[in-house]
Amino acid sequence: MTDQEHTNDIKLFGMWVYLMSDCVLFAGLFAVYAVLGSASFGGPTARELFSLPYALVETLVLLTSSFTCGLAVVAARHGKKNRTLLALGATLILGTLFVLMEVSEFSQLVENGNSWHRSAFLSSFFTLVGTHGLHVTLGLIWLLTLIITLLYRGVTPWTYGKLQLFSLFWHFLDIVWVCIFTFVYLFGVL
Amino acid sequence: MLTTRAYIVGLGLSVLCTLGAVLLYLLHRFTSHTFPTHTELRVVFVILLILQVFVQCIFFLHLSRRPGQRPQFVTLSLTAFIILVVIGGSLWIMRNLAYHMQTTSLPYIHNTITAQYEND
Repeated sequence: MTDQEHTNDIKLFGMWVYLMSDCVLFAGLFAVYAVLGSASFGGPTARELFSLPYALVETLVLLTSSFTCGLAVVAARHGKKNRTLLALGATLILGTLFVLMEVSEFSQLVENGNSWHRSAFLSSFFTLVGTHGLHVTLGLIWLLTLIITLLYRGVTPWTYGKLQLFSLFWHFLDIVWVCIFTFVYLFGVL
Repeated sequence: MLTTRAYIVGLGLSVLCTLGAVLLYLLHRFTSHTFPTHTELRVVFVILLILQVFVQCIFFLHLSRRPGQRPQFVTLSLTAFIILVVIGGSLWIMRNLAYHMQTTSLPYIHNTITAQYEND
């Protein structure tokens, strides 16, 4: 194991510990939603507001972006710069599509007077799903800087380490979204 | 484990779990809420979710029983414990509170206030 690989492993574990603390943050938000999810204060409930097909498309988009991110890591491991960049480009496009879909969903809700002011249910919904969306948005900015770094420096042990950190973060966000899809959307339309 | 094949298997299984849940929901709607019933559906959703989280942890996050990954597992189990306490504890306490606060629930307060207005 080279020095750089050893450093990468330590950084990877540091990232992992951060992700675990992020897990606890999301657990808090999920707990709030679990308690307040039915407190619609006479306003519209989850069943009236959410569209399952729309959330399903969002899920598939994010899942595919997680997949392409994994392909980027495999390509980088074999030192293939162009394939890595191609896969990361696909991840960027799919991730942006996901954020745009979520923003359009939120603005639709706000336009119809169902913003976070409406009820405790909607406050907790916007906090939970909005926090996830914010993570994805920050991830996209990170991804953009990563693509630029790879473009200039190529695939080296140093850039490969950076890519590994990003992929861990991105897969983690996908797992959190799967939980949101089940507890917010599937349980919501039931 | 770090191969294209692992990612394809991971993606396939994840999509299967998601679509499975949605198809069962459609079946539930189609049979006018008789099969599967609400409770059954909730249980199946949670099982499919747990399956999918496992699939993604194994095929995407590459968690395995390699000896080098012991610290990851220690932090993961601690996190799982905290999640269980935070979510389970919140639900337990708030359900208990709701049960004991039944007499001072909102409709009760509302009725008392309107009754007072009528007396005035």
